Amino acid sequence: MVIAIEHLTKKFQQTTVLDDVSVEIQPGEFFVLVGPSGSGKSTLLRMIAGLTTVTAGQIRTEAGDLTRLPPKDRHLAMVFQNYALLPFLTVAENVRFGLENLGLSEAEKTVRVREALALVHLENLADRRPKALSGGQQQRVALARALATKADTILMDEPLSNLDAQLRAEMRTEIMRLHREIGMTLIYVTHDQVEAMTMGDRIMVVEGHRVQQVGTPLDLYNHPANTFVAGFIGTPQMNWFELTVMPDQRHYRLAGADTVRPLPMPLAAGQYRLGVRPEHLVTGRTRGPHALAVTVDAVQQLGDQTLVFAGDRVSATSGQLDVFVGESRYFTLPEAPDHWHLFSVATGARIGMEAATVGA
Amino acid sequence: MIKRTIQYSGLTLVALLLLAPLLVGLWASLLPTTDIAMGALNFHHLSLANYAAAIQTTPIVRYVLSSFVISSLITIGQLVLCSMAAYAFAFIAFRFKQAVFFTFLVTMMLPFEAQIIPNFQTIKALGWLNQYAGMTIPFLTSAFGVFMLRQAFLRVPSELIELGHFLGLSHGQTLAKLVLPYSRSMLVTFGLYTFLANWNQYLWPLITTFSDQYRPVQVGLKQLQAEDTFANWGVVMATAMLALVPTLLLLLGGQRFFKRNLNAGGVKG
Repeated sequence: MVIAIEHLTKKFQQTTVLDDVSVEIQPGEFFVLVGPSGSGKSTLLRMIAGLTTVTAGQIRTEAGDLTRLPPKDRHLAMVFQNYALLPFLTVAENVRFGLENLGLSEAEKTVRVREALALVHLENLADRRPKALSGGQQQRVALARALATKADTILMDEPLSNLDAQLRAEMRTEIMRLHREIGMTLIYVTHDQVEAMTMGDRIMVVEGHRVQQVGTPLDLYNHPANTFVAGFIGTPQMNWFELTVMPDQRHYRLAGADTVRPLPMPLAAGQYRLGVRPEHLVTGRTRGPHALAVTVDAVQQLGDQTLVFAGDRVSATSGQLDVFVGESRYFTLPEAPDHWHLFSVATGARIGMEAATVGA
Repeated sequence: MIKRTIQYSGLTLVALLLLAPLLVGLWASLLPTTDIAMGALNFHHLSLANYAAAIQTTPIVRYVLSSFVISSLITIGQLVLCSMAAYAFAFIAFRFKQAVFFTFLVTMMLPFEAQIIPNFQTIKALGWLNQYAGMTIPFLTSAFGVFMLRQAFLRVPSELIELGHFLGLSHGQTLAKLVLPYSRSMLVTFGLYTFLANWNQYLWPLITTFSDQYRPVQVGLKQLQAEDTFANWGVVMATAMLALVPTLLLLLGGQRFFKRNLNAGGVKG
């Protein structure tokens, strides 16, 4: 079922919580809404769920307009952030509770509960109370309750945010496995960009009550639409430079530096914000046309890669690099035009290479 | 160690002081009236004869049954009606909610004695004097109950209410399947409290009942003493002890709920 969201807007009195969101979510897609807290991503999910009313715009599927339907008529299932398990019911009864009002026979309910618990590997805990379970197991019960409904779309509101790091990684894999096996549409809210990048087929970045960008994880990483997305996606974060392209369109100067350097490709004269991924900022000992002299402030040896920090910039080198705090090094900007992310100083919007490059 | 000994001695002393009238009554109920009259409170003639006499010669069993019926009806009524009202105040948005709730609370400030005369006139006009209706219907709901249950319901996590909404549960289903089970221990506490409070009602049944058929136990006991022919103190004490039995059973059974809820406000759950 395609879920088409058209110009969806939510206002609480005068405050706009979500402004003019449009997107089409494909059947079977793992669609992630990501953004900092307060960005409006949860509001969007709750509007899809029918828990929050819509101020303007529409939510439609092939079945028709859902915008004003009560939640139960939307054929969705939902996993709540704090699991929303009923403490006075057993695990099996909790799963069964999700089948209320679906008009199923008792026998059918029993089969569904058993199947759902098997999917999340909780068969042998069916008679326990939620209190007797770990956080991860409680999360599985909440998942099973959603799965048992066999809804073809499941909404998840920050389902892993209450788990510790190890469990979170485990449940992340688990949810991806369930998605692969069952093939339902998943609409998943998180504030964790790593979670978004690792799980999503497509990601919608929401910030400041607006959609910043929708795309695949690599789209967002390789072609961020604006400085917010560029900074939000990827760890460690994008490095920023202010640069001025000289009138000759062949040379540039970095803010605060006198050196005029040759551009890797011709650009229209003017001011730009340049973003460079840490892995494209090379740490070295030799001075080149794009090198900046830096003093190393901190080094993080991660084993498979080395992070070198200098000022507010960071360079990531794969492998183990022999470098110490206090040493002088050069950070070299990339030669490949693809690794130059240019943004407008005024609006923060991405300036495509096609728009910026000057025909030779 | 010494500190603890002092504490326990103090507690024991207070407990004995509070228990003294009860213990004296219990002791007296086991003695023949002649011994009591002579002030011979020894244990030469201990027997259960007074209990047998109380059951055979007085309407005490009838009184206890009446009280049981009245208290049970009131308890059930309050649990049902107060929880419905509390649900509305806790979860449903409606106009003038604050004002209506405040009005509810104000009735708690009005002493029962001030309501007796108008209530009596109403009951009399309805022809409910000396009937179960007159003793139960005026007490089927209470502002205190609504207030107490509303506070309990507000502790139900909003996600659970939202889950109910998401699953399309009606208000009745949400109340019955989510809110009431979640607040079970508070409901038991409130039910016990209501039962006991009404078991111990005195003034209202005193003025609205005139026959042994409907008279509840507290008024009945007084009635037994008042009857001229009834100066048999051993039997009076035995009837009083019998009247205590249901209360004690309830208290013992409900103790763990009482303790949990009386402490509930102090510790963040």
